[in-house]
Amino acid sequence: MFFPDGRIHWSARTLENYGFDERKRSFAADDFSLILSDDGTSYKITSQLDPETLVDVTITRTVAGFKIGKDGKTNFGEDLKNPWGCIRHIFWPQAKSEGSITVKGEKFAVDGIAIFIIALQGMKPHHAGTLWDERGSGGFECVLMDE
Amino acid sequence: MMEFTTPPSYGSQTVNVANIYKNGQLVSGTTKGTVKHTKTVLDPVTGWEKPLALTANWNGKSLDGKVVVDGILEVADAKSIDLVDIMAEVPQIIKKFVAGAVGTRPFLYQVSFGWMRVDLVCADIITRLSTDSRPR
Repeated sequence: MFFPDGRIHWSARTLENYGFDERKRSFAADDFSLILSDDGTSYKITSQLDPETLVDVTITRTVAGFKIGKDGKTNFGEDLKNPWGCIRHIFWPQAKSEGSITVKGEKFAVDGIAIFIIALQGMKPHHAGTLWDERGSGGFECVLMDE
Repeated sequence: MMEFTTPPSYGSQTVNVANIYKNGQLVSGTTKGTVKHTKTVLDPVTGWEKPLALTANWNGKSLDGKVVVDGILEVADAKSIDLVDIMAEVPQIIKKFVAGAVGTRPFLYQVSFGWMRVDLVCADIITRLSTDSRPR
């Protein structure tokens, strides 16, 4: 969380007893859940993993999602038919967020504009969601991730 | 736009994924974008070159492939907001070994820039958006 006064709050916790649902679209662990709505347009994220960072946020996509190719995969290796591994990226370039994050007992509303990116690294799944509430004027929004 | 570069063991390949939406509709998607760090500074804490300015080119086409849709984003005047040590929870001795043996020392820079210029070109229509918040 980046605060307007320059304060930064960061939380990273290990997940225990994690698993996916049958469709492999939702994910949960002890004190954590990431659930895709039935109509596939929103994710609800809840976390009590860190008592100083309580999360209850819903991200709803507002434009069509985006991926490259059939499945958004980048394959690694010399044989296209038998890749050593892959990473996968799917984007919700424009979305809205609703809900709150409670930092050290202080509750902050996080309603605003969001982007949501699914980055699946090899065999280790990782959902990356970014909340971004700054909009350029003239109706343009730019997102850049450089790794 | 998202770009990543694979480690030398995978040939240092660069993969770029980019898109442009206007009024909620996808206008162009491409894998031919480029990102260049035009100004960097060596960060003694991480050993990486921290970006201070960069230029991104979208190099796209319209969905029917007939019209050039290109965006150029230039940002400069970096104000670094946050540096995250991705291996913060790994014991120092293991971190040092992995960094030395394999070159793995992952960090995440989140940077905001004080100056931005965006040019969006679609056929012969040019839309230009500039934001310049540098102190004069």
